[in-house]
Amino acid sequence: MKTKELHHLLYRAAFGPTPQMVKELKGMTREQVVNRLFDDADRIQDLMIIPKPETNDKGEVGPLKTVGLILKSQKEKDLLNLAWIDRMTVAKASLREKMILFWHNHFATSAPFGWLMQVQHNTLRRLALGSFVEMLHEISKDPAMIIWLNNQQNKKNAPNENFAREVMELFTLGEGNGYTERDIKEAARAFTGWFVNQKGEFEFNEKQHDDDNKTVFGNTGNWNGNHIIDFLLAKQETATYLCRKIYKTFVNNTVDEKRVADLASRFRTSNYNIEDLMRHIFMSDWFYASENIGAVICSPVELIVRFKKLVQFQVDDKQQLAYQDLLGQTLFSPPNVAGWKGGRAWIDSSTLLFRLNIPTTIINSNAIKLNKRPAFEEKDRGEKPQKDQQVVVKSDWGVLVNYFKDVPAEQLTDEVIQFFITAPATRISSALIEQHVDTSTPQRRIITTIAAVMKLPEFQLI
Amino acid sequence: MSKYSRKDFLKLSGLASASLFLPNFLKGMGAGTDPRMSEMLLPVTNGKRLVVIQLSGGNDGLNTVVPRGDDLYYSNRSGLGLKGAELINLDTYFSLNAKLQGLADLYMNGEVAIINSVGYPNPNRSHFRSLDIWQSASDADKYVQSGWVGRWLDSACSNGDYKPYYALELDDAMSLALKGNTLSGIAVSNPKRMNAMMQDPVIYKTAKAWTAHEDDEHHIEYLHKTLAQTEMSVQTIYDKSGRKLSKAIYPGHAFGKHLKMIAELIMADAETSVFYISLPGFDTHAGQKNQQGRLLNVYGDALKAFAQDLKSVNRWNDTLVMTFSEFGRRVKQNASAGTDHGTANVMLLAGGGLKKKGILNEAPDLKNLVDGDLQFKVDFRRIYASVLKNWLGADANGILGATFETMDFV
Repeated sequence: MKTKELHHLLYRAAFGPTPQMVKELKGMTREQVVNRLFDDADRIQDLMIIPKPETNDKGEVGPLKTVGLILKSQKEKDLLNLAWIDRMTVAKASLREKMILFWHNHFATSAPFGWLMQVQHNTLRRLALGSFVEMLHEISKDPAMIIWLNNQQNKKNAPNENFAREVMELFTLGEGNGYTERDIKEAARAFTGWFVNQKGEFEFNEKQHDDDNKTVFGNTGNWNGNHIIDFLLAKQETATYLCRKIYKTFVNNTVDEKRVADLASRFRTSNYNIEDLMRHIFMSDWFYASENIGAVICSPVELIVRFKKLVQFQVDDKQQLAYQDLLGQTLFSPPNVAGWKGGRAWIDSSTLLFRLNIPTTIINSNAIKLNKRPAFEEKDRGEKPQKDQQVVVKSDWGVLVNYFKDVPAEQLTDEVIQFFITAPATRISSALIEQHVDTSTPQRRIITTIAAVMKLPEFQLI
Repeated sequence: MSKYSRKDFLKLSGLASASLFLPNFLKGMGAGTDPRMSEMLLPVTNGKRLVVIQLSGGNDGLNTVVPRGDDLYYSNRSGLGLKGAELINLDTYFSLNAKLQGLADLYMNGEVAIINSVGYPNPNRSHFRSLDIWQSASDADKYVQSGWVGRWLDSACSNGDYKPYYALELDDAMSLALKGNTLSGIAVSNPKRMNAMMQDPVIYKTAKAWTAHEDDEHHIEYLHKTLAQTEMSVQTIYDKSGRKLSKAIYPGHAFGKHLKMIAELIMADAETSVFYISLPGFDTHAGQKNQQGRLLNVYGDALKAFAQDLKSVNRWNDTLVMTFSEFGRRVKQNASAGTDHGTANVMLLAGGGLKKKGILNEAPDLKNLVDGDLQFKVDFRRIYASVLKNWLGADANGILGATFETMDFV
């Protein structure tokens, strides 16, 4: 496949081209590369950094320990965030990681229990390229989700509609699309008694379940949550809604409704086979059409992973969390259940300038120490306005330098642009880049050329 | 010897008389004194400015504006209830926490309005979620991915006159509140630092090279345009915040520093209509009195200094300061001399242009509680709507996505 197409595919199905991947995949056909990416994605290894909470002899956590778990949950979620980003950086299964990222944004959860967030994450990890039918059923019984959307409080005599509303509005049909307020109320009754026990596991509490008839989408019966999920999966709107989101994330931030409709009918016919859908997208000619190349704005997490993969970018954990806070994406802490909006919402004046400045801090090997906005629980720490402090930024340019070392100096800028930028380069001035390149040694020339290209707005497009 | 040297006197009088002959465009370089100027500077809001102060963590409204005349206050707050010298009495029923001396001074001057029991239906007691609701101005069961100030930008700048710093947050990261559907404000904590980032030659020259491609829908145009606007905004904020125009003394706290920066920007005639600033640390589950007292003290003193600065340039009448917190706290104190997450809360408005002053509505009802919490009487979006419509002259219904009855405090 052509270089540009390969790089485009690697941006969408992985975390962008790296010298190693490009060397390995160059010269292969589209089918061979796609097969390779899916083969690599087959390997599933749980993320395991939060220890299982201690329990008493009945296997239960108990109320006192529960409070303790809540108190340390933000810290644990931050640890999960860091560990997952490290995993994305080193994992061969890049496509799986990208899919988990997509599903984490789709089922955006931030329950106040680190262990349960890890359990949910590993469910998404296992099913990321599997069946959406299975995924929706499992997520509806997922302890973190049940707590996050208050199904714990959804009882026979006092239904709580939060989960029933969001499963329709955000997880399947889309807002205001194919359901009524009455459907939500009735569906909430069907989910009564789906709760999390003291072991941190899903349990069906028959006593709290409403056993009367419910009418949902015009069907009357003594439905439970499983029935509702199957009703939702039977609706074409669900397939369309999901495929539109997939399209926006993996193909183009601007949606082509005709393509989405085609994808949706395929997705539903395959009984929501995610791998089949993704394989179809990456194998399609239209995926490689020029209007779809460089048409997605890279998310903050993807941007950080790109820097980590390319130059072994590393700052201390606190600083990285502050970066993510500033750029607007800390995993396991989405803004709310609607997730991150993505696309142009990633970019405002503050985030753009910060993104473009990262290469400078890498070149300088230091950055100004940043503070994450204080958590609500923290005491005020702003008593004295703080003086700027420096922190170390680690990096290693060896692999990139080696990759470009045989390129003649006069071709270097163009080759570097071609390697990193898939979007149209019409507004890129090679002269501007070359003006600011350090030519003192061949190595410095390569490093500063790459850093300059990384400062271009086009580098934010994948 | 007189207190001022002759040289000082000449300098002062010379400046004063010379300024009479200064053309308007030059006056913009110094402190604005011409009331017509602000209307020219801020055509979108008719010269009005709004400063939103977010007390993050859930400020205890009952220990901020204290219903001293209600016995239930003291029976629920044995120990934490404020009395005697801990209070500044406003009338026979209400007092301010005595740490709010600065605010009390403004109050006595008729520059403060207080609205009790502000909240929303189906209150959420999670910091994150409730702040999300306040910042997006959504219903408690809706999840909205844009903020109300950002949507004000979308609406007010729809004619194309837009600069990111029309809405400015004093922070490193920008809150949801300032993110619109198409336009956004800008977050700046340290203008010098941001300016240094902008001076990177590749970034700076790329920004400067931008020319509009009106019909280009590609992300490339969006990114380049945003970068050019950022360069211009950072330049303006860096320039205007660095003129040392403020004369008042602010508390030595990051919040004081940031409020001072807002004052300096206003005094330098910055074209910012909405400022957004937070003071965190109000999550007082334990040992509330000291912690809250210290923060309220910073808040009140900073606000008083701010008013003083703005008065010196005739801008206080064009400026409205609106203070909120994501929720109030439980009426009954807890066992750790603190309070837990509650619901409805007091909102404070300050400025020289208030039409209604003092306490604008009935006292919080400490008797008819739900789960130990106050019931809201005023939806916070009524206050947003009033500010948007009556103060900023904006399309409140469009921005809030629903119609809320406005109030007449401005």
